[in-house]
Amino acid sequence: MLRYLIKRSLIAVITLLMISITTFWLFFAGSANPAAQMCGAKACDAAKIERINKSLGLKDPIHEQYGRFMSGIFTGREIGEGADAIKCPAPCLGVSFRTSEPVLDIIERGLPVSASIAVGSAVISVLLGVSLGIASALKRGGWLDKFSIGFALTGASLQIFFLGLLLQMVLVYQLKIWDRPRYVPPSEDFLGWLSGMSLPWVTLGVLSAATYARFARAEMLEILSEDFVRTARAKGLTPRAVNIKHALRASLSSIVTIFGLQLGGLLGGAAITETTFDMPGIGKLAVKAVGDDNLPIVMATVLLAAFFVVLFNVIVDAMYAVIDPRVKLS
Amino acid sequence: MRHRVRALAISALAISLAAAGCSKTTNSDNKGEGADSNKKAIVVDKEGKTPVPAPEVEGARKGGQLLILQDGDFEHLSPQQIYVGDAINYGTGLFHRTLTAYKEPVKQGDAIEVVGDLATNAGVTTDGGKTWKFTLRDGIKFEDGSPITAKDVVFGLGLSYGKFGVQGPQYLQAAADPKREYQGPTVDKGKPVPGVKAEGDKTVVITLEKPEQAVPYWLTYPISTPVQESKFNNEKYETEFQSSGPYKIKEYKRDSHLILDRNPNWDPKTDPIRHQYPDTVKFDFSVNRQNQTQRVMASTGEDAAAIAVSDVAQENLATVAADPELEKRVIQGATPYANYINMNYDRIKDVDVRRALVFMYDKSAAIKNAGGNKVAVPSTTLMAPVVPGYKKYDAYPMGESGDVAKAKQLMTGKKVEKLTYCFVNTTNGQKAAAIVKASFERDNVFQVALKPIDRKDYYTTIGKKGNDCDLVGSGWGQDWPDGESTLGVLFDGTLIKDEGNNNYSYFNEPSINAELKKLREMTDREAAAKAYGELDEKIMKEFVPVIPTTYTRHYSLIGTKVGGAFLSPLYSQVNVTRIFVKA
Amino acid sequence: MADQNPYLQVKDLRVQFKTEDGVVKAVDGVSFAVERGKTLGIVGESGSGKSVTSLSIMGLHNRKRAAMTGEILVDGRNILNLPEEKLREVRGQQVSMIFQDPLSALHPFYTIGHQIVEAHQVHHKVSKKESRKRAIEMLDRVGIPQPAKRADQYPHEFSGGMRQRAMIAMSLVNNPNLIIADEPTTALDVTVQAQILDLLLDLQREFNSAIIMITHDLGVISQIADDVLVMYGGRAVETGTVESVMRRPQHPYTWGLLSSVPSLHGDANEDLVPIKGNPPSLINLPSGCAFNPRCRYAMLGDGRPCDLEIPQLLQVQERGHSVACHLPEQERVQTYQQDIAHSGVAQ
Ligand SMILES: Nc1ncnc2c1ncn2[C@@H]1O[C@H](COP(=O)(O)OP(=O)(O)O)[C@@H](O)[C@H]1O
Ligand code: SF4
Ligand SMILES: [Mg+2]
Repeated sequence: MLRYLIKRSLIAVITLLMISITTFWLFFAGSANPAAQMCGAKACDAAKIERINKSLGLKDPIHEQYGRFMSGIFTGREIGEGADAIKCPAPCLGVSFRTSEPVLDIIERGLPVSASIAVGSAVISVLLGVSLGIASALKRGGWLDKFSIGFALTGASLQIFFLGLLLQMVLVYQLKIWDRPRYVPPSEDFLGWLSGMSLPWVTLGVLSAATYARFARAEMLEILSEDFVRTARAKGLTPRAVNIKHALRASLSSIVTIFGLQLGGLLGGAAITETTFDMPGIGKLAVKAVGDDNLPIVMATVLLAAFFVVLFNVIVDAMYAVIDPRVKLS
Repeated sequence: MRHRVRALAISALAISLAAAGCSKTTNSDNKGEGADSNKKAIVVDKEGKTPVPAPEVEGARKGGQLLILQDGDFEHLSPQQIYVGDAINYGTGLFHRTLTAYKEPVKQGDAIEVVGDLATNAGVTTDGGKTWKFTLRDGIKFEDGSPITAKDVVFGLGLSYGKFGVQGPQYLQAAADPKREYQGPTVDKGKPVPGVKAEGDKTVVITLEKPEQAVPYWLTYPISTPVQESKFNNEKYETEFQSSGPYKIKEYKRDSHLILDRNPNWDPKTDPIRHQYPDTVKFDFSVNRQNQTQRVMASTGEDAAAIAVSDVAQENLATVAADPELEKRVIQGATPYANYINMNYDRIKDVDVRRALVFMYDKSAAIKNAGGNKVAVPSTTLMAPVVPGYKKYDAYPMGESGDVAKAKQLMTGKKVEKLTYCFVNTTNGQKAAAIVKASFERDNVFQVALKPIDRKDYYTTIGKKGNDCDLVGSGWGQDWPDGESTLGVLFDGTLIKDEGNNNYSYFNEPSINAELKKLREMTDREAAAKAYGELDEKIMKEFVPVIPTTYTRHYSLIGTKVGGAFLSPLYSQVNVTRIFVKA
Repeated sequence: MADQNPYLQVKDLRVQFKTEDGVVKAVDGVSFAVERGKTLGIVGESGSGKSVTSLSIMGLHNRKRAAMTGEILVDGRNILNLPEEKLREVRGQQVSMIFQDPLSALHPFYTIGHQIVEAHQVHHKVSKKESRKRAIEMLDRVGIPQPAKRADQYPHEFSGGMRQRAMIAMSLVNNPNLIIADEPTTALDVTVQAQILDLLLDLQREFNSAIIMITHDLGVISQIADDVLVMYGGRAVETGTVESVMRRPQHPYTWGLLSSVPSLHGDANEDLVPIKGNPPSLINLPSGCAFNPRCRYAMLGDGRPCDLEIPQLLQVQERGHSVACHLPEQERVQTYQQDIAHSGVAQ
């Protein structure tokens, strides 16, 4: 177990390192020009660009900038020179090119929003999707099954920005029967948090439930044809015990996989969700940062997204070991 | 100033380029939106005659919460870093006072006034503009109650030279310290700020090497907002600053919201511009353009007292325009933004060819692309209608989609090589390019080759003297209300350098250069304004360096309970100095 | 065989599955019976309908998907008409099953003990503790060393033979009257196979249960069964006592089966002689005798019967021995004695 963890952590660190190098490289290889963006089109002479570049530390060779960025994560660093320097303790992700605010603070602000969206919609999508998928697998060919297949197809072809905007337009602004999507910290106003998050949750939850439904259905159908399910029935167990204790339990590991991938990838999808619902989370932050050529934030959000993917991969692996006694972490 | 451009927002202003700069304007047909040539173009209050306190706004009441719906946080609210229009408008309107300020006209077309804000007047010069003296008013205080002294103003101005002002406007700094050696008071501790000096507690003196008539205008930027040295914290500076205006920060959560409440230490008797009617002002930074429009259209609950910062969403433009009840709540009008297609003066030498190009351009296509005539109208002049001295003229009368016959006539017997149109390679840039090509190639009058330029290199490329673009699109908004900040930047051939030019047509006519020099040096800016208007027409009639395409218009909504709102002609935002919440 | 009230009686069982490719006639008019204390061997190549037959007896086919006719009388009650709840009482209690591949037939996520306890608890209102005691007892009985410890292990921690013993323990935990063992030893090596068969016989003696032993291996049959049913293409082609069917087989298919089995006592290196050709598709059976495309003795053409008429399963002279073949009985007996018994090769 310990060896496994060490190995996985090592792989994770290497993965993140590669991603960070790639992101850094892509940023400079691509069409980014933060100074020009900040400078604007006017009165933007070489001298001003020069001053901005200097203030951003962009004049140094790329590998030095990269080294500074990375070492800042582990040891912290000082940003800027002399008296203007800002202390940025580890883990330092730099400061925003645009606002000079420490990126960590910015991320810390966005994370609860993205996490709220992710967790809430994940709960809905898993509960709804998995139960729908299972129910339709058990009653294969029935009306529920037909509904669920239709649902899975519609859900997969609908896009969050389309459905999200439509629901907002109709439910929030036209009929005024649903609360406007917004984020308030649950610690401050729990009910406000629930009602503000409800539309994104339901929209995203229902849409990703389609994926779960399709997947759970296929998985259940496969498991239901397994020998051990037949054995369970041959023992005289009730259908309930057969379906839940034997079949569902066996399909858990694949459902957990999807769950992990989905949750891990949620930050990726957050960009669209948060833009659609105007939620100040990591996704929206990332979109803006890319548009602004705001390298530190781009780096931080990319690394964070990658970190979550890696993290959830490890979690999924660990879950396997819990779910399936045949799996040993090694 | 800069105009805020959002990465995801679909800019309605396709002609101007996706990068920074400028994109807004007025309708030559819309009465009252342009400055009225019969009235004064600009008023500079040298004597300090503007009354304090500012006269009460009719019908205004105290109380309530004003809600401002905005797509994203301000880039900066720290005064010396502010350069984007929204931050100037709301920052200086609510909490950052400046040495001088604009008193904007409530009625569109009336003159903009430059007045003393913290100072008693708009500045006094006795040597033709090399030395400027500003005397502070009595009774001005920071929010903590400590008096605002000349030292605080100087410290603030000092910051604008260094890292904490790097993103702000640089006019004063460049004039006072052409070599830009001074790094601000945090680095060059104890060194004098170039060109800026406190004389006693009450007087700030600006001394420049050459006369500059624009100093009173430059100081309206919050570079002149006072900062207490003892309270300056370089790590919290962006979010924690002392207010000098009617409102102070109660709660600021970056990217989420900003709540302001009354600043008890602001004394209306010291302020010729601002009021303090609402109890609180709340900015909600997480409302995109679509949702701003939806919410203010509905105008229910707290949204009744809301201002939408963005223009009406493109998909709702028609609905709003068609609904008289809604249109009553629209703040609309001319902005400082005008758009052009620059014709390289060194490459397209024949003035009749340039004239023919003017006739060929299809402005109606550009307007349609921008989102219709609520947000863009055809332009004929170089200066936008809100520029003081704007003269309404049309040197080349034609229909909105041009006049191909006239162009052909001008081109008889002439042969022109294929023209290269350079554009920024973004969605908007591509759309603009398509319109250019389609316009000019009508009846095969011209042949256009499209040359996309990477976003990263765009301004470097087109700003390089001797580049191979025949035609290039650009937009412009003045940095201060004076012809100097438009014609003086865009059409002065003596400013052409090897790189970093704004004169994208590389227009260089000695007679015009001389005229511009003369106008720049005029101490009477009110008189200069008129002359700029004449010069505008002369340039277009005789030389035609650019094709004026559109003026950008402002078109945004306010809630049913918002009173005292009017369009800021300078920042293309809702002016909040007179704002109140109706009962 | 079957005289008075055999424990299981199957009469003219037909099972058909509708599939996209057509109707699968998996079992086509099969009848047989088993008494308590006796063992019936069902043999046939894979795909001949053996498992479908056995699952029918447990009522394990999805009734919506499988069309079943005929009668399956377990202790006098017709399984085909029993409602699902009543069926559950039969399953695992009166009739239980041992599957071919215990690795896939046991749930991978539960311990062996847990699975046996569960099987016991379904049919007994006793405490978990008691069921566990019983489970360990059964594990011990089937010859698993350290049964208490092994009960807490998962199927993948058992060897193949031990796993099948555990499966048997689970099947027998409720003292069923009829045990259906569907190829219980196919996945095992020869020595283990013999042990498992011995164990089954022991347990049968102890509990006096009836056993249906399904296999494609006649060697197994001769070792354990009292009666034999040979299936081909979903039909019974020969049936009788082990003695008569193994010693004096009369169906060319049985001959083929016999010669494809290495003699248990013979030379281990002796080549297996499989029957040439493939088992027929149950969707599209050859007309007449389903075996005719592979049969060396088939009488085809000129109005001869093998591809025209389905041969009836008819009693031969020997008592309790029936064969479905158009060849005259005399000829079958002679052919077997002259050509096959000595050479051991049918084709
Ligand atoms: N549920 C089912 N649906 C369709 N066909 C089936 C089903 N179960 C078995 N079959 C078919 O019935 C035939 C007999 O299968 P089976 O009884 O398993 O053969 P075996 O004699 O090898 O045990 C095979 O062709 C098989 O494909
Ligand atoms: S009936 Fe004909 S084909 Fe079938 S086994 Fe007998 S001889 Fe062979
Ligand atoms: Mg089988």
